[in-house]
Amino acid sequence: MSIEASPDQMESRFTVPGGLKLAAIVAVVLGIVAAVVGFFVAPVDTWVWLVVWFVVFMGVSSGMLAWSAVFRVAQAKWTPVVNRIGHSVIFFWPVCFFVMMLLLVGAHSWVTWLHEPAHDKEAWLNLPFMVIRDIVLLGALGVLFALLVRWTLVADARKQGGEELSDRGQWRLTAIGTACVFTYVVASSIVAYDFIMSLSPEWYSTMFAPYIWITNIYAGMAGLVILATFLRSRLGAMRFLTPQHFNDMGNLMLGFSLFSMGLFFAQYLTIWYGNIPEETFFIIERYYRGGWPYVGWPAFFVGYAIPFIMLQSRELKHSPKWLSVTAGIVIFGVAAERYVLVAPSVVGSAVSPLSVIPAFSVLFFLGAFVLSVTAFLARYPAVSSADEALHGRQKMEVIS
Amino acid sequence: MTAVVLRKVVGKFEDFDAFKRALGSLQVSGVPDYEAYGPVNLDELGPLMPARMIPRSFKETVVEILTGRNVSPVRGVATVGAITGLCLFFYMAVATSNIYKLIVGGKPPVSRVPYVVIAYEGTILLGAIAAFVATLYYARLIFGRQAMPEYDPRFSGDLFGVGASCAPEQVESTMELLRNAGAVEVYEY
Repeated sequence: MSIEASPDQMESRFTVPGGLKLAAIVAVVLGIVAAVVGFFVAPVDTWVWLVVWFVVFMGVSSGMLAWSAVFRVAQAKWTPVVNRIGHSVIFFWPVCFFVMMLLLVGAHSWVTWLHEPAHDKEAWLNLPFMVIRDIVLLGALGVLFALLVRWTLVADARKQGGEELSDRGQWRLTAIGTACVFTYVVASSIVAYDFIMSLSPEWYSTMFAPYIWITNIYAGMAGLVILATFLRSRLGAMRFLTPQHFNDMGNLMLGFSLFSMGLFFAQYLTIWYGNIPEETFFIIERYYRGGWPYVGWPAFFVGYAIPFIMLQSRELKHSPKWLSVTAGIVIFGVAAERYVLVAPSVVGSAVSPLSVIPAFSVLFFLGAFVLSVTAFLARYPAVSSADEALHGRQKMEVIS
Repeated sequence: MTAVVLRKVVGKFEDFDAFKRALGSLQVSGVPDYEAYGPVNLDELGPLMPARMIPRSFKETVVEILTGRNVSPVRGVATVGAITGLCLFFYMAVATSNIYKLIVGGKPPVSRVPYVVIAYEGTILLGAIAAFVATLYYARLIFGRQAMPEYDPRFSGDLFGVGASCAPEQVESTMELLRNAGAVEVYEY
């Protein structure tokens, strides 16, 4: 069926419900309180949780923005609203950057190699260099994402004003999208190295960084699904977010769940085969001995294996509600896995029972996420005219 | 109560819009059931098909799977094939190792971790073969299964076709409906 976006649809914006805004503000405050109380009762665990939530939320938000960049580079014609939802996360980026700066300021409390320097790795694992590379790379990524969003919005405004987007304008958006994708890979790898892998400085795996940014893309698609489900009727974009669109997003999640498990297994197989103590301890600690396997294996199954089985169902993928439930399971599983990757390196097996309190600092991230995304969608149109007008097409093909 | 014997009315269409028009008319005409044939599979025909063909909600589909109604059997066969491949190839790897008992790289003869790769390959292989064979079987292309009686080979070439099952008293009106929609040929099978 061929449909054309009406001017009303192109201009529709999200109206933030007062209750949602209030709930988000309350969540932010409660999250800050949880973190502050946590610093008094279990300071190390609080830093661990902040690192975990930073890695999770930075991963999901950068994954969502990376999808927008990928859709632009791929000249995808089916995603004018999905893209815009991805763009909306750009307002959350400064929050991630702020938390990263906070973590860097408090590095002495959670960066293990500052207390037990790793020999032969001082050239890479030294605080000044770590601070510089993190600020430069994540800053560069944020600037590039902001430019992608900004230029797309400018192109939208021109299209709305009746001006056709020139080939040069299209090329410029594609070029910035390409730069975003490459920088995303490098910056996410650095986050994986500095905030997760280097916490066990004796351990290294060349496959670890790709595993992290691939799973971030996986979780990013899950985030897009949840937001698309929540917003489809509220944005008046039902015709741009049909069951077929959700089926396609579900298929992308299915592919990335398989890819993530493949990377996990490839890394596991290599370590198992080599059987070198400096590599195996990382796996043994998390998946075989002590208490961590009780979190490690369930996290793997909840984050990857169970969604893989659920996403086999075409009917589930056609149902926004059930697909967003699956997406929620994915994000929960990935977050639990990040905790298992970070915490044992910092606290070993000595997890304080009081670490439950700083775990609630997630409310700060959730509240800030909701506030920033809704603020963006309330300010800018729900449908990206520039994306819809790819190749000068006025109409888009939608199978309902 | 005597069961009503349904009769089959076939309409052939050269024009796709006329074909869609006929399906739309049949949907509201009260004809109990009809099939559509064409050289390509078009998702947009879904809403024009009888209610049993329209995608259901997830809950309804689960009920359908449990009760065995209106779900393509191909995916079930593919799943059985895939699980068979998983178990069979894992067993074959273990059995082969137990026969020769070769020590490789200091690992035990039966090393389960790398056998996951073999089991995975078996899952894909037998799952794909099972799906392919099931597709051929249920498409009535192998094992001498007879095609739908009203099927015309030109429905896989240059024509679209409709086969409507209707009660004897509906035959005339259904033929008229198909003609009005633009059928180039209408007959009772």
